[in-house]
Amino acid sequence: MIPCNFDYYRPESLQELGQAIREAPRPFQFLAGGTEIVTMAQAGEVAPKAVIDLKAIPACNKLAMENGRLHMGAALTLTQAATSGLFPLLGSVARRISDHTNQCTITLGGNICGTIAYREAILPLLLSEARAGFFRKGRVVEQKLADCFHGRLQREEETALLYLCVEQKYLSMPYVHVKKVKNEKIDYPLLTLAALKAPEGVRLAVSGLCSFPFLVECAALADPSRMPGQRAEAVIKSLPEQPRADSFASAAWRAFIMKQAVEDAIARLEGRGG
Amino acid sequence: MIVYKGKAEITLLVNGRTHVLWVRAADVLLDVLRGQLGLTGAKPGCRNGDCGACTVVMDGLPVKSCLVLACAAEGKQILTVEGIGESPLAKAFSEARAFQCGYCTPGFLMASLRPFAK
Ligand SMILES: Cc1cc2nc3c(=O)[nH]c(=O)nc-3n(C[C@H](O)[C@H](O)[C@H](O)COP(=O)(O)OP(=O)(O)OC[C@H]3O[C@@H](n4cnc5c(N)ncnc54)[C@H](O)[C@@H]3O)c2cc1C
Repeated sequence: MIPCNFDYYRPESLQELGQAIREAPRPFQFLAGGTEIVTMAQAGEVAPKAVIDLKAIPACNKLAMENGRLHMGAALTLTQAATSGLFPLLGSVARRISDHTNQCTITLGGNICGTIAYREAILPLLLSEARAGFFRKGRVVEQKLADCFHGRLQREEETALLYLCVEQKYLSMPYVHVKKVKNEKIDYPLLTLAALKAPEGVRLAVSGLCSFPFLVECAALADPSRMPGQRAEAVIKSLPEQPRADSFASAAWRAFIMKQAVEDAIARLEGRGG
Repeated sequence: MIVYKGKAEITLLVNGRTHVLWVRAADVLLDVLRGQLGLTGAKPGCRNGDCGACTVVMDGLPVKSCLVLACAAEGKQILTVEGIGESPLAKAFSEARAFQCGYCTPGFLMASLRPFAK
């Protein structure tokens, strides 16, 4: 049972979303799948005075190709994103977040905006230079996701993520997705690696390795004159922080599996048979 | 826009029947099913989405009812283990004795309903 009481708002348009944001008592939280809010509220870790449910807003539920871009509403569930088959790399990542039952509830927006450190759904979106549409002060504002995602989504208070857009060209690029866990198939990642073969070279995005998910920035990665193993070494040297060490794995083990996974991904994407 | 403040009247469609219920906006579906409708098949276990003992089917898909707000389930077709009756799946479970103490069996049944139907 959730020990606190809160009000519930379910707007059905952007205009009503604006009204809900104006009228809801503070502090409020946007509600998508609710898996994190309900868990945290039951544990007494959050006690909002209101929740604003985004799931009835059409812009948050749209899944369609429009003007050469795939539009994905932030309230789409991981299952909807995966079963649509429109963005295979995102589908592959979504199918390994939590279990298949929770995937029917967890939303793209909730996974990206949530407090849990992994936010695995962000990886394909960073790799494909996605743009994000926000509802901010009564207006829809779109910006490049990479410009507002620095470990977590940076957004002004009371700003809702409405949708994510990916240019069509990225949807069919060759990719590799690897999720390494300690024991079971279903678990938080020791390492989740998503790799995309773009015309300029291989791109990588990672979750679980450090305390936040990130896009790998390493010039050597796209240098085909170097062997995959050398490039993997360079990637390890370019990490934004030391790999995590916790009860699941040491930092050295995480770095080791990362190096192996990067080397393998490069070899597979470049057809080096390795 | 739907707004519920304090306790509110909501309508839930459970196992093909319509129920008008008074709930707090913060009530979770699992507690409403068990406490108000007496549908105790869905079981509280971990209450954080891990164990699956509380699984029900909502609009054809399995969900953990401990993580869904009752008012967010309005308008959805909710199916609990009580609603599947003597289905071929339940029969297969009992014939194969596919349970130990039985506490999580409703969760297994509801999670397997879709793959089994396929
Ligand atoms: C059992 C279990 C296992 C899990 N395993 C993994 C895993 O392996 N990998 C992984 O990455 N995650 C995992 N998760 C985390 C899961 O992905 C989060 O619960 C998810 O982030 C929450 O999504 P939701 O749609 O339910 O969000 P909600 O609970 O509705 O919201 C989460 C937070 O995001 C905010 N929010 C939601 N949508 C928006 C929006 N559109 N705009 C602005 N703010 C918004 C909410 O206000 C809230 O603060 C797991 C969760 C569970 C319960």
